[in-house]
Amino acid sequence: MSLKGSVSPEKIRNFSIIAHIDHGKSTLADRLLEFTGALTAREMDDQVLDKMDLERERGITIKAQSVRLNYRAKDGQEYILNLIDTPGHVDFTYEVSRSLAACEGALLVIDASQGIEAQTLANLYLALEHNLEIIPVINKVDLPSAEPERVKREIEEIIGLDGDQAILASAKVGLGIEETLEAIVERIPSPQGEKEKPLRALIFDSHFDPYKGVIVYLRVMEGCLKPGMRIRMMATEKEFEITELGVFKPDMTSIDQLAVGEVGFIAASIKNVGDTRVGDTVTSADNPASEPLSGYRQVNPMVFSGLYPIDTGDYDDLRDALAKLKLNDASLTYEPETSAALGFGFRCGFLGLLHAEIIQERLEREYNLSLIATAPSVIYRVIKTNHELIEIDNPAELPSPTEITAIQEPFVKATIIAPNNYVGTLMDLCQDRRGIFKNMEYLDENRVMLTYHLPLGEILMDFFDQLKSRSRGYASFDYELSGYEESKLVKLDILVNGDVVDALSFIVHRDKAYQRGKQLVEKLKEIIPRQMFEVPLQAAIGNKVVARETVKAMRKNVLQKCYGGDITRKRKLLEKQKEGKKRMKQIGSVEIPQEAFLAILEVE
Amino acid sequence: MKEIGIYLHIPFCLRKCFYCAFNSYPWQEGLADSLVEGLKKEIKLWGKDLAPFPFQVPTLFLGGGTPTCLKSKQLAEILDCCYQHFPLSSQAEISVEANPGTVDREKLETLLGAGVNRLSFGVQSLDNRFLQILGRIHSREEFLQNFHLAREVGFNNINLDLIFALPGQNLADWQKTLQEAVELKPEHLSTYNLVIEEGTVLEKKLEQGQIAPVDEEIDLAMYQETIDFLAGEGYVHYEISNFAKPGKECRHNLIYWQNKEYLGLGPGAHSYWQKQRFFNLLSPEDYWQKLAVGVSPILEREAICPELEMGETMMQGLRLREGISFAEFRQRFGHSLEEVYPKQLRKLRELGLVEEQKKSLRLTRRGLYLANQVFQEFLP
Repeated sequence: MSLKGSVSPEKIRNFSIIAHIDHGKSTLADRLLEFTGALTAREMDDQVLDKMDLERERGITIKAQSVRLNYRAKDGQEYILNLIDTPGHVDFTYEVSRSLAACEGALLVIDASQGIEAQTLANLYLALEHNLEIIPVINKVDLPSAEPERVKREIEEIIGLDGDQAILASAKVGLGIEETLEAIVERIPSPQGEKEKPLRALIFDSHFDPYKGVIVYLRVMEGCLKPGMRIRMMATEKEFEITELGVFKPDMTSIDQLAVGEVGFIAASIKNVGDTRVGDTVTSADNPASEPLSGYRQVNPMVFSGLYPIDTGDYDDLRDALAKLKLNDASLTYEPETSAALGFGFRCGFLGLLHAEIIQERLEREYNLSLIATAPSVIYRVIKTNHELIEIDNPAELPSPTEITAIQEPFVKATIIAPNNYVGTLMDLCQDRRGIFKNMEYLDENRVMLTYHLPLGEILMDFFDQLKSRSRGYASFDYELSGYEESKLVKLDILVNGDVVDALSFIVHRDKAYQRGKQLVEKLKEIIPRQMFEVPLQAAIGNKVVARETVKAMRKNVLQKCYGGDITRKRKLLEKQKEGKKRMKQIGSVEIPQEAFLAILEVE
Repeated sequence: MKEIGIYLHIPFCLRKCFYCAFNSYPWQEGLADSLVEGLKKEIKLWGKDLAPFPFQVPTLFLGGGTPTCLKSKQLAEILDCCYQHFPLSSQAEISVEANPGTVDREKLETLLGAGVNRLSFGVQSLDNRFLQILGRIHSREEFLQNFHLAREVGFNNINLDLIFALPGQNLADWQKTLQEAVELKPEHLSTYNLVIEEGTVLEKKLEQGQIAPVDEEIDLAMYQETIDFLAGEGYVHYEISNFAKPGKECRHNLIYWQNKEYLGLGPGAHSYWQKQRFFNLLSPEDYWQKLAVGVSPILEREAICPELEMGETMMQGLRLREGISFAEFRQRFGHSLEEVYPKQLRKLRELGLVEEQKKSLRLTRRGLYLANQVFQEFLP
C-alpha cells in the first residue's frame, strides 16, 4: 500500500512516552493505538510495540519503536500523531535522548500508587533538556492503592508543573485515553522547520531486515526525503540511494515522501547497521546541509565481559551469532579473546549490565549456545611507570604492579529515590561501595532523593539487587557517568587446584581485597561441586595468598539400590548427574560450573 | 534357546514404609482380588504372544510391594498360572519377597508347596529403634520367629535385605546388625545405603529437621565394613550391594545386571524384550480395567538403540564384581570395548576407577564407591 504525502506540519504532533519501569508506558501506548484505530482490539497482541519476546517477558522496551496514528480531534480536524516509544533503562540513555530529540512533547507517565521514581526524573530531565512540552499522565488511578492527589503534589513540588494539568488515566481499563490524545493535540507544539532548506533528518534507531538491509528510523527536521534520492550520513560520511521510504502504521507502509516534521523510515540497501548511527544526521548528497544536527556522539560500551562457549566446538557458532546480533545492535562490540582457563572466546562490550544480560540471553535462547560469561568489568586507565597510558577492560590484562604508577576507574553520579525509612541502609550500601555522599533531599514528607559519587565498577557488583532487597523493592536508581579518577586498585587472582584461573581474576580496591577474596573463595566452595580429589581454592594478590578454602573430595557416589527391572529410572538418575556436568567447564582436571565465573557478583 | 526372566509385581503393602518410593498402594481385599485376576489374564496374554518363540523361563520373581500380603491361595493361583503358560526350566529359581510381618506357617508351607525355592525377607534392620524410624510394620522379634519358621518349613535359600546409613545410626550399630544377620546364616544378603527419595515420609522429616542424613564418611565406612566383614564370613561380594554363599547368587537379578531380557507383569512392572523397554500402567485399578477387557496394560515403550544398549550393558555389567567380559562384549556388539569407549576407559583407568582382571573389565575398590562417576561415562 502506498500513501500520498505529505502532511502540513501544523497537523503533526511528535511525542514520546517516558516513565519509570512498570508505570504502564507500553499499555498506554497500546491503548492509544487501539483508540485511534491503528489496530483493532482484536489485532492487539498485548504490548504491540515491544516486539521481542524478551521485551514482553521482562516488561521493558529495548529497541525504540515508532508508530503513526491518525486522530480526528474534537476540533474536527485530522491530525497525525507520531509516537516514538523509547527504551526505558539507564543503559540506553543516549538512545532515549535521541528519540526525545525527534519530538516536541512527551507524556510523562507516573504510577498513581508509586509516584515519581528515579527513572521518571532521569527521563524528565532528558526531556526538559530538549525543551519538550511535558504532559503528566497519572496512570493506574483505578487501583485501590492509587493516590492521585499525592502524585499531583509531587508533580508540583518536584517537577514544578501544574498538578491540575495532569491527566488521570488507567491504560488498563481505557480511562483517560481520549483526554490524553486531546492534550497531545492541544498542548504539544507542531514541528517547525523549513521545507526549502537542505535535508536534515535525525536517526533515532534502526533495525536490520534481511531483504531490505538496514531500516533507518528517522525524523525530518528540514527539507524532505524522496525515493531515489542520494543521501549522506553526516557522521560516518557514507552515501546511499533511498530505495524505499514510509511510515509505521504500525506495519511499515510505503509513501512517496517524508517532509518536515514527519517521522518514518527509509531503506537504502545499507548493509551495516554501524553506518547508520543513532543520533547521526541524514542529508542530501547533492545538496548537503552545512552543519549536522547537534547532539550526536558515538556511544561506547561501558561494561565488558568475556563470553566463551562451554563446548569449545561452538566457537564458530558463537562468532556467527554475535555477528548477527551486531547487525541490529551497533552498540555491541566484540573481539576475539583467549583465556588460559576458558580457551577461545570473545571480549564483548555492552552499554550496561542489562544490555549484557540481554545479549547473553539472546545468544543462549535464540542461538542455542551454552556460554560462560566472565564477571563484567569497566574500562580501567592504567598509567605505567614508563608514562604510557593504557586502557584495559579485562582484569587479566593488568600489567604487573611494578609497572604501574596509578590506576584510574570510572565514577558515576548516582541518584537513588526511596522511602525515608530505608535511607540508613541504602547509605550503608553506598558507603560500603566506596560511595561519596553528595546530597540528600526530601521529595515529600516520606521520600528522599540521595545523590552519591560512586565507582561504576561497584555498581556492576550486584548493586542493583542489593538496593532492591534492602529497600524491599521501593528504591529506584539511576546514574550518569561523571569521569575517571584515581583509586588504589589491585588485581586479585583466584587459584583453583594451585593454578591461576585468569577468567576469575578481578580488580578491586586495596582495602576491600582481603574481604572480597575471602568471600569469593567461600562462595566458590559452595558452587564448585566436589570432585574425585580435594581441590584447594585460594585468593591471592601477586604471590600473597589472602584467603583459602578447600572443596572436599567426593568419597561415595553409588546407587546401591537395585530398582528391580526399572533400568530406565537408574539411567535417568545418572543422566541427570551427567547433565549437570555438561554445564561445567573443565579447567585443568577440575570441573567448574558456569555460575562460578559470576560468583564475584554475589559476594556480600 | 532364548531365556526370559519373569517378574510379577504385587503393588500392595499393609502400610507404606517411610523411605519407600516404589509403586505400592494400601492393601484392599477387593483390589487384591482383581489384581490376581488381572495378573492371570496378563500371564495368559503373554503366554499366547510368546508361543511362537522357542524360549525358557529360568527365573520367576514375585516382588512388591508385599507379595505376602496376598492370601496363600492367591499366591498359589498366580504361580500355577505361570507354570501353565510359561515353559519354566527344570532348575528354575522361584523367588518370593516376604515382609516378616505378613507370613505364618501356613503361608510359608503353601509357598514351598507351590514351588517357591528362594525367600527374600525385607527385614531392613535388626534393631527395633531403626525399624521404627523406617516405618516398618514388624519388630525384630517377629522377624526372628518367622525366619526360623521358614527354615523349619524347609526354605534353604533365604536372602535378607538390610539398609544402612540410617538416621542416627553409627558404625557400631551397623556392625552389630551385620554380626546378628550372619549368625542366622542366610544364603544371601543385600545391603543398601538409605536414599531419602522425593515424596517419602523421610523426605518430609528431613525437611522439618526431625532427622539428619548420615555423613558421607560414615556411609562409606559402613559400606567398607560390609564388604570386609561379609568376605570374612564366607560371602562372595558378587555385585555392588549383593553378597552370597558360593552358588547362591540371585539368578533373577543377574538377568538385569547382564542386561538380558525379562518381562515384568503387574501394575507398573518393567520389561526388557526385543530391544524395547516398556512398563505397565501404575495403578491397580487402571491395570485391571485394561485387562478385564483383554487389552494390554502397557503404558509406555522406549526403543533401545545399539548405542544405548551398550551403555546400559556397561552401567549394569560393571555392577558385578566379575565385571564385563571383553569377549562377551565383542560377541554381543561386534566391537571391542576398547574400540567403543577408548576415551572413557583411558580416563577411568587414570582415575583408578576401573581395572582389568583376568579377561574382564571391572570396578576397582575405589570405583565401587564412586560407581556413578563410572557409569555416567558410558551413557550416550
